[in-house]
Amino acid sequence: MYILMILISLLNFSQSGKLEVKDGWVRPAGKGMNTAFYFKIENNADKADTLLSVKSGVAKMVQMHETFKKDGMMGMREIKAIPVNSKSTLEFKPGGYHVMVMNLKADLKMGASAEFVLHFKNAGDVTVKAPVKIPGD
Amino acid sequence: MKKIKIAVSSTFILLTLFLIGCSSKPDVIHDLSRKDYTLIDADSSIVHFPGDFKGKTVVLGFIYTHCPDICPMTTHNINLVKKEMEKQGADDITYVDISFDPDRDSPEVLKKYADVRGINTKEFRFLTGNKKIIKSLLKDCNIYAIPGDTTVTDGDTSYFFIHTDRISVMDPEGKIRAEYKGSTANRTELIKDINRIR
Repeated sequence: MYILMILISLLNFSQSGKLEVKDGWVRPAGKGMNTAFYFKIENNADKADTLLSVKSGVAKMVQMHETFKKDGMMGMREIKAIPVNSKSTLEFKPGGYHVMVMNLKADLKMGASAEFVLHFKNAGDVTVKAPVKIPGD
Repeated sequence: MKKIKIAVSSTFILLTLFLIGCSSKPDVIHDLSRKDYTLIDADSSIVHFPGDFKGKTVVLGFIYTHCPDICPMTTHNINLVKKEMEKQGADDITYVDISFDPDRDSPEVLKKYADVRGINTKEFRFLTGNKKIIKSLLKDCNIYAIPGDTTVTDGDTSYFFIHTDRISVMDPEGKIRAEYKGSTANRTELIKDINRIR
């Protein structure tokens, strides 16, 4: 029983240190066009982390962006680094933070998937395979 | 007896006002009924807007296809409204997206934008056109689209717009009577307005 308790506490300890990227998805778009990649970062680690860059072979350029409102209009701007607090979840979602996937090398059709590598200051590289979809469709 | 008569009359008046309020069309915001913008659709057919849609209520979005975040949400919202209205058996409505980026949004590009989303461009029309005509149409609809950040990728220049986020509802005479924030439109309210306007 004592050994079992130690094992459970060790398991909990190892889980508490993890940063995970979940629920990734990409909008469909045609070759040469732009699209966006969305996901959730769950940082269960004890210290904060920073998302420094995102890379993918599906497009000629990938940048982190945020959508903003100005004078009643909507725009986007590049963000160079995005902090992720410890024990928190940060969501990249429509109308907010998103990864801008520019100049696609091939069509991204519904049902396909695209691979992205997220580079964090502490957690290093996290690879995500994201399905191409339109939520609610 | 007199008190009962007053109460009945008041109830009748209030009920009448309530019913008028529910059924009357919202006020005109932009009157395009005497305008004629010559545009081209995703299938390369000439469209006289709004004349060619006379007699139909038009659910109208303003987009550019290089937009990765906001405009696809506007298109998606219109597509969901279309599906819901079709379920209700409404066949007197036309669904339209107009591009405010005619330099890049050729009919072929619009067709591709629709195709990857599984949208039939005969049922959901995508329009572009001459830059000057588009500019005039945008002005008449109070839509702003200002080119913003420019990014160069392998020699290709890409630019983005700071733009109005809008879905409008135009009555069968060509008068816009309702406007919503396109990307986050409340579809229940939008459908309610469409049913008041059509």
